[in-house]
Amino acid sequence: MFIFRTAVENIRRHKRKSILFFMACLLLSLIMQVILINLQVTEREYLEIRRSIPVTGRVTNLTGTSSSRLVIPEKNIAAIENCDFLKDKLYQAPVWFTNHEIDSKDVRMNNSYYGLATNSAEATSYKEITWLEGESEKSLSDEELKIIVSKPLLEAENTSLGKDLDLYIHYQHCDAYDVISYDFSKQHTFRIIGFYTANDNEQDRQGADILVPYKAITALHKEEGRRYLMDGASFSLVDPAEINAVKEEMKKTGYLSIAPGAVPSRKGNALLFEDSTFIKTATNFEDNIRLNKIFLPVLLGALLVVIYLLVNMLMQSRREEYLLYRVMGMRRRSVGVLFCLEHILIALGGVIVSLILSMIMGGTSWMQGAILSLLVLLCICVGTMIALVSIGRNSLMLAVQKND
Amino acid sequence: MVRKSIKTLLRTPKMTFSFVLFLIFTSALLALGGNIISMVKSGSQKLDEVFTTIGVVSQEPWDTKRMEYYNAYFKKNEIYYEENYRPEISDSSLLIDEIEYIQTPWQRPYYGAHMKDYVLTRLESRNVDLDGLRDLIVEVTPVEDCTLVDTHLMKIEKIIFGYDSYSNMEIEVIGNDPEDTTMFYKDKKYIMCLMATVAPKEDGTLTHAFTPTMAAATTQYYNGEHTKAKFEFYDEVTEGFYEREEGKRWLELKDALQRQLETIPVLPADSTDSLLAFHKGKAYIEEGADLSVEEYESGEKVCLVSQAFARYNNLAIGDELELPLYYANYGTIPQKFFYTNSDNWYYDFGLLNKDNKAYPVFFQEKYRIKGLYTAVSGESWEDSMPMNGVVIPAKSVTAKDEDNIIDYGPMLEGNTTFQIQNGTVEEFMKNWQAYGNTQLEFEFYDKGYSLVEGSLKRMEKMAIIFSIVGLIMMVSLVFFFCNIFITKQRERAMIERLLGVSKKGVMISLLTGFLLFSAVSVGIGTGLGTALTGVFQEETRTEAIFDLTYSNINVDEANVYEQIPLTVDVREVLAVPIVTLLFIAVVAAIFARRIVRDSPLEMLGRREDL
Repeated sequence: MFIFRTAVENIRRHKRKSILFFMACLLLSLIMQVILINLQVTEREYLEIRRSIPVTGRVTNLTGTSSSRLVIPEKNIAAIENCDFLKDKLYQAPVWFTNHEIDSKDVRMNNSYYGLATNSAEATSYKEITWLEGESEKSLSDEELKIIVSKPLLEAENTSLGKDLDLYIHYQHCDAYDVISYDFSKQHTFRIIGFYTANDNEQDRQGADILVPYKAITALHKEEGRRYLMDGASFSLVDPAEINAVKEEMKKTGYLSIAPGAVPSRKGNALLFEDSTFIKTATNFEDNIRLNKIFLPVLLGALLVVIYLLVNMLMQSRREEYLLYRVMGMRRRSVGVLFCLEHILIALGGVIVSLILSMIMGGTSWMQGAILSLLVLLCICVGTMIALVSIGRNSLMLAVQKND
Repeated sequence: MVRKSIKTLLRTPKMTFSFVLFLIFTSALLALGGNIISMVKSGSQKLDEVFTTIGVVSQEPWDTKRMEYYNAYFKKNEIYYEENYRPEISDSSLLIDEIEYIQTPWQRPYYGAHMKDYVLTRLESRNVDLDGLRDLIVEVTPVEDCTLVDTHLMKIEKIIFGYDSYSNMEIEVIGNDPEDTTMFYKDKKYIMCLMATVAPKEDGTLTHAFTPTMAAATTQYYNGEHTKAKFEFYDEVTEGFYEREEGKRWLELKDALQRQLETIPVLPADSTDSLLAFHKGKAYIEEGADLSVEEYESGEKVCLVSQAFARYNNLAIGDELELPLYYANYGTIPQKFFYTNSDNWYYDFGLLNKDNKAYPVFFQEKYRIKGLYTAVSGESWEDSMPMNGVVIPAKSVTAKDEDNIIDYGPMLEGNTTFQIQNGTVEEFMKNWQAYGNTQLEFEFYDKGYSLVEGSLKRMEKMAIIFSIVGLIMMVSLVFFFCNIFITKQRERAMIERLLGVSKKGVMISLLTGFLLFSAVSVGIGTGLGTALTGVFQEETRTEAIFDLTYSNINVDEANVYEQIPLTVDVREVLAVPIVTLLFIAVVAAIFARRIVRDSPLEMLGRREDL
């Protein structure tokens, strides 16, 4: 108790030095807090933008002028399908149906149903889908012969949800010039697993009459020894930060970059990522985080040296006082505790005020701030102890003689 | 005296070493902070050269009506929403005192240029079944007496304009006005302007069908008013029909349709960047150079041409291209009609003027090709470029287009742009909300200025931290060490004075060593700070973190960081140590003067009292 009272008294007695030391501790601690806040805020914002800035991609032709009505090689679709970094994968291709047998060459001119072979209900602009119990959008990933139809088709065919519908599929033929034609049809039975309706606000009335799992249509074509190729594909990234890995995978598949000067074609062999916003923003953040991380240890080290030197200097200026305590009979350990306590009390005040200020600035958490404050206090303690060891080496007699 | 002063300092080596170390560190911090602030300042100046912020404006409809019409295609009533934009809000309404523009808002038309002798690239993806021209003028005879409320068969007797393959075909014709009950008689001949489409037959199969096209209407905007639209897409053909006024109108329409097929869109602009496709990087100069600010301002006869158009016509940089402009369209954007990836194009404007004549050429000049651009498909109509497009300086069109306005409409995102100072979007919107018209909607595109600006601001924040730490430490250190090295030398100074050394001599003895050590320390510190700045600069110029393959970032954008060289002003680098040394000298001189000013005897007396 005596030591604590003396320490408080000493702080009061050395008012100027105490204020100087308090200010130094406050400033140093505050700077460290600010740097830490800056780093944390930047890292937090970066994590947020990875979630909030979507990166999407789509297959295009080589000139980049078209991302629909393409002919996309199977391996290119497989690359997207097998890539774990991608989500919201959407592939589609037209498929023509009729409820009676007709010459497939005229399929687009006759009373046919325009269908989309796809893996997602996103392929239609009509969002309100009524599903058969037990069925969901996942059903479009199956190979089973299931269909989702527009309500007008349901009415026209006088059928209902859950019933089977016999339809002729008109098989695709893709020639060497990527021109699609239809040359024969075959009847299959499809189960109606859903229907969709358009509301008045939906002005786009060009939507498909039928949605069918693309794997089912592909399998049917394979049975006939034919290829069924998607005409559009798009996706988005699960974590945009993995964009390099995605691109690496796509490069291995053989996807090309857009070459605007190339001869226009329908082949879907190029990719276009809508990633400029993400890349620009993320690069910015990565730069800042890297810089902060490079300069933070430098600055921290420098600040710690400053703390040590400051404490040492203050201790040195009180060397005579130290020796006086010793001459008066105080033990070295007690004087050490007294001086340490003085510095710790002042430093504690400084770091607490800096902690409060940094909390007001709204950055770091209490826990992190407290850890940082403890680190500052530890440095001050170490600095004080080293200085005390240095002072302790002085001869008591020398001090007495000097004062005489 | 100088040697003595240095010797005195060296008597306390630990203290002097601490002083030097502190000063080096502090000077390094100050130099680093100052240099980064200088870099940020230079970067901010460069930002305005590299980035532009453009705003696009579009008018909201005054009211929207729910309408119903009979769709002969589906044989049922359909609902649609009619949006009323009239009267259109003029672009001049955006000019208010509180808002400063770099480029004032301008509702940009596009001009139609008749390029008869040139090869025009055709639509890449056209509906195979309609293969080619959709519009035709034909003489037809109804198979039976009918109205056009529903689809009816008509036999093509003669093709005035359009593909010959339709000759003698029986086609389904559908009217577009369910209230038009005009009778068409099978023993009469009619001339019609139609657009090919697909329609269901009575047996359920689909067939070619033809509907009226807007091409036959008059949509001219004259004397600030819309000409009352004439939509006469049919006429009865009688003896001597083509010699009469109504017959001549059809011949004019035929010429106009043919001319439209040979027309390319010409985009007048205040700057290339004001075209959204270029601003958003969907179009860029592939060969040659962009039009300069001076060329835009002086209205020089230079142009940018689409790469495809140039390739098809063997055009190269420096070649001349004669542009006979014959109409100006303020009603829509050219991409909707001249688009590379759509088979849904159709006329939404009429080709004849109020006098039922094809529009005459109002301006014809030769333009030198300065650059060839390439465009990829944009995310919308607005940020795409039209097929065969040519960009020219707006001021180069010296003739007025007032008699040749083929259509006029509200301001649209794709045809009305303006440029404001970077970083002033919020201020703009605040002022607009206070004084502007709420019927207008804005969107801004700044090429990522706000992001880069944010990065520079964070860098500046760091620099300010360095500077504040350095500054406070410098002040504390100078006062602290002046106290130790000068004030505590009071006794030595007193003795020197008593030994007959002049005041000036004592000052020199007190200050020279201190200032010499300070100068060396500040010098080393500044050098260290500058070296650290170099590290900082290197770190800000690292290679791309993200793979740009397949990216929609174009080459110019990808190099945006390279375009902002962060340079340090040498004068500012030198200013920091000079000011620091001056400050140290002034403070030290004040401390020394306080000692020297005292009388040595008085000081001695004080010492005795002790």
